[in-house]
Amino acid sequence: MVAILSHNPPEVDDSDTPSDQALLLRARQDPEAFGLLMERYEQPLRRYLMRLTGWGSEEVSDILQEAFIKVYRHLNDYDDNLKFSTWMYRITHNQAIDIIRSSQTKPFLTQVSLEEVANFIPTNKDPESDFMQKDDFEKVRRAILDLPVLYREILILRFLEEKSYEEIVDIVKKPKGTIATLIRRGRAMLLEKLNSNT
Amino acid sequence: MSALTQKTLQEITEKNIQPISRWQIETKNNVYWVGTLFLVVFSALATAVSFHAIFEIDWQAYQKAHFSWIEMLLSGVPIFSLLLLASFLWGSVFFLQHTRRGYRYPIGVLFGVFFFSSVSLGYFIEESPLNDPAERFLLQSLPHIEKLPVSLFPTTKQQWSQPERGLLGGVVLQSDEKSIELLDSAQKTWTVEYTGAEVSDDTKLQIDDEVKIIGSQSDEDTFHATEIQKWENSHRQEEDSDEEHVESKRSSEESEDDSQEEDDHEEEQDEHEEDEQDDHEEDETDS
Repeated sequence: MVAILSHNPPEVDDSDTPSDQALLLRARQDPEAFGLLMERYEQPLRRYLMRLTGWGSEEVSDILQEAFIKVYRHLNDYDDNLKFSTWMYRITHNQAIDIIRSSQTKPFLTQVSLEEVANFIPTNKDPESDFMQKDDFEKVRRAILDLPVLYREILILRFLEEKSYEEIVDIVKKPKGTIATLIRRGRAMLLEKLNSNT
Repeated sequence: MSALTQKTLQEITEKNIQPISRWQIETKNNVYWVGTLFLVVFSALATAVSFHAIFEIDWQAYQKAHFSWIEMLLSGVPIFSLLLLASFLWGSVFFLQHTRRGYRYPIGVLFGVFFFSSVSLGYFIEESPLNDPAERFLLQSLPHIEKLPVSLFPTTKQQWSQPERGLLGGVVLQSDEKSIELLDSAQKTWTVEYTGAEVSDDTKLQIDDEVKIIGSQSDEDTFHATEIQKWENSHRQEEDSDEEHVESKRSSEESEDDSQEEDDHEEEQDEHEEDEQDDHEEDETDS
């Protein structure tokens, strides 16, 4: 239940559900077991990709399929020190970033819901007085997608995917200090964009 | 099973995609570790060479020849080996960051750690008996390093081959009370006038003496000296001269031994001749 609320897939099994690790071991021999892992992670990763890229379902499916094949090819490269979900996010993230950088396609829709917009506002700001009162959520959503990918990816992982700093470090493969700086600057840029638009 | 899962599994089966083998992955990871280690060692060697060059340079001579601070730095700092050091450091950081968990360490910290490791190890190499093998290794790897301009890699020889800037070194070919004839490292003969020059006590200006001269170039092959020193400013050269001294002493001892042996041999020969002569005289008496 907690996992569903935080949009994260289950990491550990109960008595009936095999754990990610167990499925991983089986998947090295049997692609069908890998199918179960894909099933488990498809929705959370799809949602993450939509938030990150701002692209439609079809484009995101293509990225996801490529990411899954990459995961399968690198099954033996899984580092036991990482959470399996972190590793899945990392590969999917890298796949998406590669495509975003090589593509001229701009985001054409945002998958950030109105309720989620408030997550981006720094805690020392009063969202009600500063932004929400203005009933201008669409501008906020547009500002999020206008952010450079470097900042957008970190903000989405932190505030929408609700990943810990440690997990973000392992997903984007950057040191902790860099992550903290990117979050701080990303928020500042977001506020600046919002202020200049209003 | 979702459509995406089915499609992906189908592609895996159709294209016969297999997970990359564990040994390939481990090899790749180990290559990064080994690369890091090698590059740190190379950084240390580059640091040792830099220290070597800096210690060899006679910085006081630059001051006496009226070089400005900037000119001193540009002439005395081994830019080439420092550039090598920077490249090796960058390479070692790059390799470490590509190891499995290398991304967790900030680049600045990695540069700092590798830099201090290289400096410590480099200083140790420079001051230890490893210095000579390390130097030989570098000279073999980079045979043209000594031919680099003084601004890139200064050596003592190059430092004292700047007559136009007031620094000249070489071997005395001939000398009198007013001037000496000097052969420099480029095999050019100079007439050095030293009237009024400060000549160090350990310099006799005899033929075959190696000297360093500070002064100014008068014309194409004439140099006016203001100070003349014996050519031995660095600990390396002192060691070399000590070795030469020991070698010459050893050879003189050997020659003494040889002459002793020759003397003994001559004495034996004389005794033998005397015996023969005695025998001959006895024979004559008998007859």
